[in-house]
Formats: sequence, C-alpha cells, structure tokens
Amino acid sequence: MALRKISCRVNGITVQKEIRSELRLIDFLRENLQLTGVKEGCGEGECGACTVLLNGNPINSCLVLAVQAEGADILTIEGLAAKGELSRLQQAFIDYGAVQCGFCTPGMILSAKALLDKNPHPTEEEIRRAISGNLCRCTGYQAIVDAVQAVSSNIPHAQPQPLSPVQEKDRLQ
Amino acid sequence: MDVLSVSSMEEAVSLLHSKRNAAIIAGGTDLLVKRARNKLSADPLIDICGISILKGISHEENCLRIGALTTFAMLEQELDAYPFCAALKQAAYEMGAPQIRNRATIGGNVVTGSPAGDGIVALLALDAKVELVSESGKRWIALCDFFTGPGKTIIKPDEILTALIIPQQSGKSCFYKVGKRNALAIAILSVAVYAEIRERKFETIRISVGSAAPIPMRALRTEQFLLNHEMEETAVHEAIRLIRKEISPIDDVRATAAYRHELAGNILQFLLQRLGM
Repeated sequence: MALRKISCRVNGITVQKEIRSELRLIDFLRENLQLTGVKEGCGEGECGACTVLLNGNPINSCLVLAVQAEGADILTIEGLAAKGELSRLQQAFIDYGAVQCGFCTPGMILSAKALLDKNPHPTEEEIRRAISGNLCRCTGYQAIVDAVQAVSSNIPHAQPQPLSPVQEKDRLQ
Repeated sequence: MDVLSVSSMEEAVSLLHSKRNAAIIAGGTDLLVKRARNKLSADPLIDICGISILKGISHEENCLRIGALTTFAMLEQELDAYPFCAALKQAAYEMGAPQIRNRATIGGNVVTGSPAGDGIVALLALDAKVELVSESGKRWIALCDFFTGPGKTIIKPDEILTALIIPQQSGKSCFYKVGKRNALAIAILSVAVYAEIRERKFETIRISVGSAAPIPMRALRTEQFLLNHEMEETAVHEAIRLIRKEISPIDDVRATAAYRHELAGNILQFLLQRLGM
C-alpha cells in the first residue's frame, strides 16, 4: 500500500497527514479529518454534493486525489461558521427556505460563496450558472437563487420576501 | 495504487518510459470517473499537474500554443484576446459545470478522445495540431489524424500530450452544442465552423462535428463543396444535404441517429448564417 505525506490548509488550519496515495480528496476530508459536511452523491462529478473550494475555486472533491491538494487551501462548509456564527450566506439559506433535505446544501453554499467572492453582485443568470454543477433533487432552486440574491444585494441585512400562499403550500408539501 | 507527482517534463517522460503500466493524471475529471467505474487498471498514476510550463496560453510566431494543462476555466477567461478562437471559447463555456471546468484540462479532453468532446470539436475547426513528447523526442500531428476510434488515439504508451498548437488565422469561428440541459451535458450533437469569407465567398472553411461518428470528425466533403462558393441560400441548402449524408451517427441513450442527422443540418445552417452576418 503506497503511502504519501500530504500537507495543506483546511479551513484555515495547516494539516499534515500520511495517507494512502490513491485516496480521493473527499475521503481524506470525511474520513481522516471528520469533515462530514462534504457529501458524496454520485462519485462521478455530476451532482456537486462533494463540492469544496480549492484555492477559492469550486471543485468536485470526488474527482481530485488528496495528494493533488498538496500545498492547497481547502474550504469546506465547516469553515464558514468557524467561530460558531453562521455566515450571511448560510443564514440566508435558512431565512429563504433554501434548505429542504439538506444533502446538496453544503456544496450549493460553497459554489455560491465562490461566485460572491469574485462577483459580489451577480445577475440571476450568473447565480444559476454558478450553481449549475450542483443538483438539488428536492427541486428547490428558486429559493436557493433568492437566498444568494439576498446576500448579493446592497441591503446589508436583506429580509426574505414573505411566501405567497401557493409557495407556502409547496414548501410544506 | 501509487501516485507519483512530478514537476518537470524530464521526470514525467522518464517515469512513463520506465513504468510499463503507468497512466498520466492531470485534472482527473475523466480518469477518476473511469476509476470509480472500475475501468482503470493503470498503476502508478503520474500526476503532471506540477509541471507549470504546461499551463496557459502563449502567443508564438504565427500560432497560439495552449499548454495541455490549461483548464477549461482558463480557456473561457483567456481566449477573449484571440477572437478567431471564439469556437473554443464557446466550447469551454459550455463544457461540464464550474467544478469540472476548474479542473478539467484541454489536454485531457483531447487524450480522452470522446467522439462528443466539446474542446476537440472546436479545436478541429481551428486546424489544431497536437504536440507529443516522449524520451525519444517531440512530434507534432494534425488533430484530425489523432483519433482512431471512440476513446482511441494514436498516442503511444510512453508519450505525453504537451500542447495544442493553433495557427494564427484571420477568420471567424463558432460552436454550437445540443445537449439535454445547459450544464453537464454530453453533446447529442455539436458543430464547430471556422470560415474566412471575402466578398460573400468562402475562401477558407472548416467544419467539425461531435457525436456524429466513431471519432470527432471533420466534414470534409461539405467543406469542399462550400469552398469558393458564394454564401447564398442554394449553397447552404446543398451543404445541409451533404453534411447529413456525410456523418454516421448512431442511436444511443441520448438520441436517435435520425434526430442527429436532422440536427447536423440545422446547426450547420444556423452557424453559417451567424458567420455570414
């Protein structure tokens, strides 16, 4: 079994481990570092549940070898509320009902964060394109787009629009 | 499985030469899918991501050199400086999803050799060459002679694809893909066209088609017909008829051959009109 040393920064903390060289980044994060906010859906780069930020860019952690992240800066969902307080983006996902089963949420938030870090005021189209590699099978995309838009608007603390009776019914179903 | 990371071409070619069952890994977005499906027997993997000279686009004498490790995200951003490469920029824009574009490399796209490869179809229309390096030296080969079957190319086991070379050109190019959705869509059919049009005449024309044959193909007979022809309705209609005859698509999970025949003509018409404007 081939072992290799890896050194990288995960959520701002320098990590050094000896790992099996064929380990995927997702396995390294989940199994070696217990960062289970990184989810595995398809394992083939189609669903985006395993999205993490590698040097600020979203990638599928199921399609990267851990040793390929040598020296890199990795951000997982656990790194967003590092001081115990939710980030604005996370809070907006809650406020806008953008979380249903929750499985896609970590990846969805990280894709949105990568967008907002580079482009603080994206158009709706840019938001949809940024999350196009993240599947939500609860089909809650509109609420997700609304949450990202709320954070990107100039209003410091955007308030969610009250749901219409139809939306409220949909939400409860 | 062992993974060996290298930071120079010398290391990479010598390892590839000495390890018989080795394979190259770059972005991993094709290779690790293959592994997830238990279809990868290579060991060790040689990770070439650390070879920085293979990254990025450079302008050389009369040509563009696109390093094999240039990601689709980089292509999308950097090709604005080369308007004649609009087809490749568009293909990069539509390929995969952000997570894939941040990792997937143009060299990997070409080596994977999928008949549907978005980058390949655009590069074919731009008349690209591939640069292959092994311990015994370098060779260049036209991209249109590179593919031999679905996922099969003429690359030798000890060779590494290091760059795509595109001649500097004065015309315009465009790319159009039909897929099941906008993101993460494997092409049902894709077409790229490069043309130089003077006084409404096609002085140069190249047409390539994806998901239309066992390999990503050039529509040579359609090109020959259009060359020196005036850009007018009857010529375009004849070109549509010819491209539908020239391709040999199959029925598969994504679409029927009949639908692909229909699409090839329709997309070609759309692209020719766009270039004629």
